[in-house]
Amino acid sequence: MALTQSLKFITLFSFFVLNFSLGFSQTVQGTVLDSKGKPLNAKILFIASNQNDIVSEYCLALNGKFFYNLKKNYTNGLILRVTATGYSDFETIITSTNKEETLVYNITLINEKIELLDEVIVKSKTKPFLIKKDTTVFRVDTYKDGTERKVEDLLKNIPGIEVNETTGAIKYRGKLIETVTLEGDNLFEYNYTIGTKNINIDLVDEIEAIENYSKNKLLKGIENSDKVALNLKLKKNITDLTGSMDLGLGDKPDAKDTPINTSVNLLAINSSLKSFAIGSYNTIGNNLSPFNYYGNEVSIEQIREDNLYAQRVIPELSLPRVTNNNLSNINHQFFGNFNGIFDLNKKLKARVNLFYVNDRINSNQFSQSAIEIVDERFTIFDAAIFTKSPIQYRGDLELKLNSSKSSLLEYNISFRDEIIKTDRTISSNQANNFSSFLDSENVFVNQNLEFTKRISPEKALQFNLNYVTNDLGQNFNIEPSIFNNPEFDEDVQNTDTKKHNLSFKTLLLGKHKNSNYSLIFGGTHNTENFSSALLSQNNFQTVTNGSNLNNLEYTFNEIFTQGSYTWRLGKFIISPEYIFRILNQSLQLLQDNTSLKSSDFIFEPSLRIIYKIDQSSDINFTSRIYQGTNSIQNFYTNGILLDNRTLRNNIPDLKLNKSQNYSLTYQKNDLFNQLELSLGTNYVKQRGAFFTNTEIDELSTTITDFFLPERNENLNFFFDASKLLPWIDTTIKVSSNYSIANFQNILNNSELRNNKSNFFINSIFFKTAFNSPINFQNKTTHSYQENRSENLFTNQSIENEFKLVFKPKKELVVSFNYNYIVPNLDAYSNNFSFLESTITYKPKDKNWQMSINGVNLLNEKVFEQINTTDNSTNIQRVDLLNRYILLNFNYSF
Amino acid sequence: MKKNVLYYILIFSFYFGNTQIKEVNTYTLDYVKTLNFESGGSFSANHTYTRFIELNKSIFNVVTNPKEVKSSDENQNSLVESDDDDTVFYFKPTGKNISLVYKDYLKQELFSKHEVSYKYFVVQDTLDIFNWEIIDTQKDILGYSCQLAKMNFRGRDYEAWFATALPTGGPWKYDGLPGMILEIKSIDNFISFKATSIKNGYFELEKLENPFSKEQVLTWQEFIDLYKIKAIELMSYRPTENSFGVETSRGGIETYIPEDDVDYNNALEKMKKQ
Repeated sequence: MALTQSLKFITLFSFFVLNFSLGFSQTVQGTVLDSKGKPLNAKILFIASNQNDIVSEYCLALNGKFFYNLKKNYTNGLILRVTATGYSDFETIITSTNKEETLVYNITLINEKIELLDEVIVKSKTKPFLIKKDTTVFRVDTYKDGTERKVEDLLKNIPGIEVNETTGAIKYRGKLIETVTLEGDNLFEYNYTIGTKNINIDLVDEIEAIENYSKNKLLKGIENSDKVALNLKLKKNITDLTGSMDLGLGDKPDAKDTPINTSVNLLAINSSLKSFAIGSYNTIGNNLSPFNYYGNEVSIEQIREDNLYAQRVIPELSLPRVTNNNLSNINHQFFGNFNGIFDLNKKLKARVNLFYVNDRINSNQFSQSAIEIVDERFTIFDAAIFTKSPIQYRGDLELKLNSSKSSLLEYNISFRDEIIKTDRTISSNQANNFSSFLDSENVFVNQNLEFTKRISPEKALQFNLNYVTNDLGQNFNIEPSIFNNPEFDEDVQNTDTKKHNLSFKTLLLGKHKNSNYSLIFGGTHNTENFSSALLSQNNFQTVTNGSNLNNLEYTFNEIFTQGSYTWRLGKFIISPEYIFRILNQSLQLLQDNTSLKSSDFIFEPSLRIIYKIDQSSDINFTSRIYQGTNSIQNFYTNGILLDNRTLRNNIPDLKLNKSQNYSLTYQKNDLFNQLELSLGTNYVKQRGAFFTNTEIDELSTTITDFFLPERNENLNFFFDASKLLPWIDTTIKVSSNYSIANFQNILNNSELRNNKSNFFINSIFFKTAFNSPINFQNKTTHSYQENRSENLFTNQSIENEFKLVFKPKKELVVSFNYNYIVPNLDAYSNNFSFLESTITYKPKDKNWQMSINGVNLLNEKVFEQINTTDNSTNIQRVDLLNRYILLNFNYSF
Repeated sequence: MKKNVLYYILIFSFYFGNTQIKEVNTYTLDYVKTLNFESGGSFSANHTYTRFIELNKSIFNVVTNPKEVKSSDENQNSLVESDDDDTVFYFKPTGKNISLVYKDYLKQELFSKHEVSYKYFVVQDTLDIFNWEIIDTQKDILGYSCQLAKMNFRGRDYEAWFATALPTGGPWKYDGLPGMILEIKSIDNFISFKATSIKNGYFELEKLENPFSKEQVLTWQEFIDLYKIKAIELMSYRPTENSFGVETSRGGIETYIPEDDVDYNNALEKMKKQ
């Protein structure tokens, strides 16, 4: 063996001594070839003779050649070892390395049939891994421009994030965000605007956008979630108690009251508790609460819980939003809130959210409708002075029990009691002036029990039980009696709804290779009792007015199964889904002893296809067929008085609305070329719906809704493009939206009329990034609306928003906003201008800052909005907050 | 065992079409990569490095699940993360050959993909970019005697352990030592690779094509120049009313824009001033 080894190791080499010197270090050079003379890549190792196998220096022979200057001097001699995989090693001893001559080795390595390593020599243990979801991390300091105070202000700066000015709802790359977590904990649930509107940005280190987010950790990776969540990561030094205090006091030169904007918030974090509390009071139209009592935009929570709510039959007051300062909201809002997550023990967590809102909104509104029905023309108007006083008490509790590593039990209860009182003094084109009072009380209790079990890494099972009770009572008084009966002083409209909704669901969720699937089986039992009475009364007696009494019971029972599958096939994601439902409805009209019943077997398929063209763009197609039921709003047969002129009733029907919805969109977000592009279309066709039959004259309006198996259609196109023009450091964005709706109705005993409405809105926006202390942005929006029936109603409006930011140094920021609005281009003289300015001073390394804010400086007293319907042009005019100056001081601790 | 052989045959038939068949001596090493982020949180991924001795070439890539290798175009860059459950997540790029590194030891070339503002480019480098210094310290890894070496490479200091008994090679771009790098980590703890298995065998294949498309190949210098131009442009990009420019990272594992780059720092200063 030794002999054959040594025979194998026969190597040929030659050794030359050259006569020239190469300086201080020993140079070694040469060639490495195989036995056929082919040059090899080999390792040339230099091993000090006294060091067992430790390489002191090395070089690599490339393509058969090497050349190396030794760095050190080896007095004890040196081993030169040449190795190449698949060849026998060559080894020789260099006795001395202080020679002035270059050592030259021409080496031939013999091809060796080496033994293979064992297929797996050693395998060390590797941990099991989970695939994590997609996330983008935003470093807060990067997006700060110095004017931000709260998390929301900063979010507006981040590309891809949009914040709704009214509701505070956040969208990331077009997707509505449902969750904002604080250090990974879902402290605020759907009311995350508490956090984003109130947490100081100085406390936040990073904001993470988490795509494919699963609320329930056990469903991570199994659930096919296209949800996005934001996580606020606090700065590392934030522990125990931190907080901030805002004090804003000012002056209204033209009015007596003092504008106030003040708030205190506290953030407490330790190992077993995470909590955030707010107390605030303002009279400048701010809304720090997640509840909106001035407008009619709905929050994310309201969208989610919509089918659990009892319907409000008599509408509450709402106001249009005027500029970013919300000038129409003349409020006195107190908002108090506490949110806390407590680790009760290792397995049990509790979340508590407490809310208290108390507001008083004053408004002076004028609304006018110019009505044209065939040849009939008249104008009606109402001028009303309102005071709306909402109060809400609310408490939420969530208990989470991690009963084992793979199972989770959750219990949620939300208790809400809301009282809204609205006082109104009305003068109108009617014979009398009225004063009215609407008192609504809404008690809502929602309980949810959910158990999740992860059966295997690929599967999870979930059981969910939900029970809701909702009592909603409305009491509307108006005097004098609108029925013009001199015998009575006032009319009283009462309504009362009691809703019980019990539902259960069993879900099986799973994944298989690149696919996800879900299978759901569930049922709902829903009952609603609704009663109403319209009475006329005086000090001595109360009589029912005509036959305007309602007493009905509606039940809705269904059993359903739902299945979905998501395939990921190369560049395609294909998700088909189906729902089968057996639905039984019954409506008992107790006041006239009649009842309606219906039983339906429903199949609702849907399909979604996404094609990812490349890293930055995709095409998305969705189609959905669904059948909707109707609500109490369309079930009461006898009239309900809604305001000083409107009486509404229905011819009830339990038939379903059959809808088809198709959409196709293209999106591109190309940061390399700084180009964002999205365009698409959406088409909705509905067959079977409630249509309105309206009787309108100068004094009163009577609406009767009735069901027809006719169709409504809606078609929408949109286009958005933004591009940076680097040579002028300016980004330009154009947006267009065009929608067409076809619908039918009956007006003043007409035949069924066909109506068509067109809405076209275009805007152009630019924003500069000049290398100067001054920068600008401007947005011009033009909108055109047209309603076509027998007559044509059109309106064109234009709005321009200009903003200038002046930053002479880091500590000082001055900004100007100028809005110019022409509500109707045909009446050009009727226009509105709003100027707002803010000067912020934030000293370096201090925990306070100051600002002066001047709002509505041109002192517009009213604002006007114009819209058209199929029979009228409407003007709505609202009072605004008088011009004011506010001095703000903020202190953080 | 059979499964493993099948898996390699699959890889090979995936990487190269076979013309004339020839036996090639192949070393395959599995590595676990770990990245630790300043902000806290870490993730790991499994990678495979395959060295084709006679062809003087190597391929380095991500493997999530060997069974899915054949259809791995979409998955090959999935990031995997250790078991502990915190809510830190990271951006997952997808696309063809994003984390593949191809080395040609004969031509001393190195190819990889790099991203400029979410757009990927093939970048060509040379294999003489490493300035190793070897140290007289040894330890055993997977039964191999390894020696310590140190270098500074594009903004980070590294320590690597290499086995002279194995051919020259290493995970990702790292290379240039007289042996296989079985462990390497940056001193700042940001990145590390650890070999978890070594396999050796003969496989039949004629040649190994460069898996990267040769269109639009940038040199390293061209890449970092383009990266800087786009990073400066993005600071002026304001696609919405409230947006305020995009700040790009100065690099990833390697530094693309040095801390003292005057053009970039001026642009950043200007953006922060606005």
